[in-house]
Amino acid sequence: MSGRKKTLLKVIILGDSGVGKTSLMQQFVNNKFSHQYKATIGADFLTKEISIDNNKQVTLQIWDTAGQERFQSLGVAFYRGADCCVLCFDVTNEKSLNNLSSWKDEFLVQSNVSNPQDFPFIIIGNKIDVDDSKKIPSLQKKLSNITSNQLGGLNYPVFETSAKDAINVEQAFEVVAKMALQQEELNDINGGVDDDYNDAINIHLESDNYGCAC
Amino acid sequence: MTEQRRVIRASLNEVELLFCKSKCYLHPTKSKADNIAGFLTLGRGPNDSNNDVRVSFVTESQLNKNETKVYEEADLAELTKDLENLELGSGSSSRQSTRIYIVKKLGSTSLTGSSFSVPISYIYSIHLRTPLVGWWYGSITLHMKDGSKSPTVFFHDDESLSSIKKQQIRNKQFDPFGEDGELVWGGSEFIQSLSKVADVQKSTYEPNVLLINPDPNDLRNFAPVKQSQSNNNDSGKVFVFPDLNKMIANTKWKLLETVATFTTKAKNQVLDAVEERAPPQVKQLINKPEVQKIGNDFDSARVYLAKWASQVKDEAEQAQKKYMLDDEIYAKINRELGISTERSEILTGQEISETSRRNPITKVEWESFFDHSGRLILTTDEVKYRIFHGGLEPEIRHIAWLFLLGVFPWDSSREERTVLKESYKTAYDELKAKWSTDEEKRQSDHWKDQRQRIAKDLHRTDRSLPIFASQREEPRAVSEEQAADVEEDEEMVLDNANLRKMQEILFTYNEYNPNLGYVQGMTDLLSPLYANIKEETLVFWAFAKFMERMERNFVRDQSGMKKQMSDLNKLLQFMLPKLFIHLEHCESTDLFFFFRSLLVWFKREFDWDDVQRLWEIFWTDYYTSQFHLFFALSVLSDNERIIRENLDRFDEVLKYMNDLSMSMELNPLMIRAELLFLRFKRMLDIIDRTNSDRNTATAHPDTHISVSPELRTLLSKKLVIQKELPPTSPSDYN
Repeated sequence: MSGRKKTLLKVIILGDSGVGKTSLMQQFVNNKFSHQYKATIGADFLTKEISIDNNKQVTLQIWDTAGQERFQSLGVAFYRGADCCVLCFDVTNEKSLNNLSSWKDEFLVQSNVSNPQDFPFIIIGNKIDVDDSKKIPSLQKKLSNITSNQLGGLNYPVFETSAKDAINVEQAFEVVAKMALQQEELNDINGGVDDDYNDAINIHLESDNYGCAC
Repeated sequence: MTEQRRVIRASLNEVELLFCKSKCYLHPTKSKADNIAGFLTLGRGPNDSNNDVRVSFVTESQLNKNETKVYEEADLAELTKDLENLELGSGSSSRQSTRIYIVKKLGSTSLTGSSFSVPISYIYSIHLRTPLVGWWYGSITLHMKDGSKSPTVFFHDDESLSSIKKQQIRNKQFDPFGEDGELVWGGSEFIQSLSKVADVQKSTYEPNVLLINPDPNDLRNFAPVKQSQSNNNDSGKVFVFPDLNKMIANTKWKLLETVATFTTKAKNQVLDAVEERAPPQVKQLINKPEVQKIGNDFDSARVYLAKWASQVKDEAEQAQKKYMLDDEIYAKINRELGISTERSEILTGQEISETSRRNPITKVEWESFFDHSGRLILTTDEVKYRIFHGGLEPEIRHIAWLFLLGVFPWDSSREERTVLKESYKTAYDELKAKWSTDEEKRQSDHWKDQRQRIAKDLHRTDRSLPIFASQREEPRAVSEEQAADVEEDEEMVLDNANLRKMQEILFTYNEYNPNLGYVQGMTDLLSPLYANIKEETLVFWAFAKFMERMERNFVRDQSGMKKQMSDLNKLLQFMLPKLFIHLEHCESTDLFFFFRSLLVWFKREFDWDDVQRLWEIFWTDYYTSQFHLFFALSVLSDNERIIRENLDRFDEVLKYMNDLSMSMELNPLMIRAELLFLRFKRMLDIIDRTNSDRNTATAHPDTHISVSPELRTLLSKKLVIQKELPPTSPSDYN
C-alpha cells in the first residue's frame, strides 16, 4: 500500500424511487441521458476516474440501488465501506424530500460506519429542468427545515441538478469525490479495517483532528 | 438345399425377402388416423450384390391378398427358426424350414404412394430412436448419400405379430434383452439383419446414428475422439476455437453426457490457448502502458477492498460449507457420473437425447393436441414435455399461456372454457368496481401513493416495444381526462393506452390481493402477459395466477428472496463446490448478483423474445417448480472458469454477473440447466442408495451421508406459495 497508490472511493446513491438516481449516475459517468431507464432492481455500479485537489487521481465507484424501501434490507453488502452517501430527492416531489432523513438513517444503520456523526452526506435535488409550476413550493425553506430538524442540523452540501440537461451534475460529484477522499483518509489513518494486527496503532491516534470539515 | 433354392429363385422383377417386419408405420401427421401401415423389408434381387439389396417400405394397402400373405409369413419366418431352435435345441435340422419368400420388386428408388425402396448403396446412415414404452414407438430414418432422407418408419411392436411372439419367447427365457444386453425391438432386429449384408458402424459420438458401409473418411469424422487424440501433438500448434454449437449438434450424445464439465473444458481450451499461445499482437497489447495502468488500478482497488472485506469477515465465517460433501463422496459420485459413460447409471441415453432443444410448437401442432370439443388429447405431461423442450410459437402464446398459468384447466373443453371465461369476467368487473366506482377511495393517500408508484414504473417498462411506445404526438386529448384526476404529478399521465390499461389491471390486483400492494418488478412481470394475451380480463387472471408463485419475491421482509438465494447457495455448494469456494473467497456467497434475475425471472437479462420463451418453459414445472434456480446455476456453471480465474472481489463478481445481461444464449444455458437438474437428481439417488447399502451392511452406521432437506425440496413440482401478511401500518407498503 505504500508509494503512489490509486484511490478507490465508494459512493452510494440513495433516494425514493424515480427521483433520478440512475440518470444522475449515467450523466456523470457516461454523459448521457435517456427517458427509458428501467426501474433499478438489485444494485449496480459504475466507475469513473477524476482528478481533484491538484491533480490527485481518484476512482469513484458509484453504486446505484433500487428505490423501493423493502429492497434496501438486502443492500448491506453495498453499503459497507462507503466513503460518501448521496441523498437524492426530486424537486417536483415533496414526499421524496421528506424521506431524505429516513434514507440517511437507513444508511447509517446498515453501513455500520465508524463515524456516524460526521460521515459525509450530500443532498441532491434533481429535475430542476422541469417547469417551475411543478416544483415544490418554498423548497428552500422546507429544505433548510429538514436539514436542521431531521438531518441533525449538519450543513450537508446541497446541489440542485438536472440529470437530463447536465446541470450541476459534474459539480456535485466533484464535491462528492472530495468528501469521500477525506473519509477515505480518515479510515486509512484509523486503520481499523486495514489490518487486524495493527490494532495497537489505534491507541496512539485520536481521530478528533480528522473530523469532516464540510 | 442349393437345389431347392435354384428352383424358387426370384425372377428379374422380384426380390427375395431377407427381412420383413409387419406393422411398421409412417406418421405423416400428429393424428393417429393418418398413420400408414406397412412392411419394412430387405429384399435381394436375382443378381444382386450386397450393395444392391434394397431397403423397402411397402404399404399394406397396395398389396393384394396373396402378396399380404407372403409378407405376413416372411414376418414370422425368423420366428419359426427361433422356435425350432428353442424346441429342438441348437440342432442341425433348422435348415429344413428355410423357406424363401419372393415378392414383387418395388420401383427403383421410387416412392409409390407412401412406399419407398432404396438400395443399400444409396444409404449413408440410419438414425435410430429406441422406443420408450408408453411414450413413443421406436423408429428409424434413412439418410441418403445425396442428403435426402426417407420418411421415419415407426415400429409398432405391440401390433406386429412377430414382435409380440418374440417377446413372449424371450419372456419364457426370462431374458428380455438381446445377446448384447440391448433392448430388442423391431428396429434392432432390422439392423441385425441389415448387418448381414452391410457394414453397419455405430458412430462413437452418436450411437443413435449408424453409418452404412462407411468409408474411412466417414469414420474419422464421426470418431474424432479416437482419431484426433493420437495426432494431438502436431495439430495442437494451430489453435482452433471450438464451435460450441456445432460440437453440441454433432456430438450431442457423448458430449452432453458430461456437459456440465465438458463445455467448461471447451472454454478452458480457449483460455489456455490465449494464455499459452497468445499471438504477438495480444502480447503487445498486454504490455501497453494503458493496459498496465488498468492492472495497477485493480491492484490498489484490491488492497482497498480487502480492507472492507475484513469488515464482513463475520458474515463470511457464517457462510460455512455446510452443504458440501466430503471429497471422497464426490469422488464416488463422479466415478458413477462421468467416467463410466458406457451404460452409465447416471444419465441414460434416453434422458440425454431428450434434452435437445426442439422447434417451438406451431399453431397446427398445438391444435392437433385437442379434439373436436377442444379437450386435450395428450396428457398434460406430454404437452409440458413438448413445451419444455421447444417452447411456443408467438401466435399461440395468448391461449397456451392461459393453460400454463392455470387460468384454464388443461382438461377443460372449449365449452367449459367459455363458461369459465364468463365467470372470470364477472369476478374481474366486481373487483375493478371496488376502486373505479369509489371516489372516496381514490382520494385516499394510500391510493394516490399506489397510483404514483405504479405509474412511475409503467412509465419505464418495455417502452421500446411498439405496443408500449409513447403515443404522445396525438397527445393531450387522450390524457386530458386523466390529467383532471391528477393534479400534482406530471409523470402520472401515461401517454400510451396500453400502459393505462395495465395500470387499471394493477389497481384491480391491489383489490384482489390488498396485503401486498404494488412492488417494483411487478410491471416487468405483467407486460409480457399483456402484450400476448391482450384481453384485459384474461390478462388480469393470468397475472393473478403468475403472482401466486411470484408473490414470495415481493413480500415485505424479503424472506422469499432470501430463501431462494439460500437454496441456490446450497445447490451451488452441492453441485459446483469449487466455484462455491471461490465465491466464498470473493465474499459473494450471498449470491446477491442474482437478485434481479430471480426477482423478475431474468426479464432484464434476456431480450423480449427469449424472456417469453424462458417463462413458458419455467411455467411447465416439468422437472421442478424451482427450475429457475437450476437455470441460475447453469449461468454460474457456464461462467465458472472465468469467475474462478479472473474475479477476486465482491464488486468484481457483481459487475461481471450484471454485465452478462443481454449477452447470454438461452438454448445452451437451458440444455445445461436441464442436465444439471438430471445430474442433481441422480446424485441424490446415488447418495440414498449408498446410505441404504450402508444401513443394510451395518458395518459403518456413522457413514450416513446427509443431504439438506432444502435440497430435496428442489425436486418438487409443487409451487412454493408465500403470501404477504396484512400490513400493520401504511408505511408497510413502502
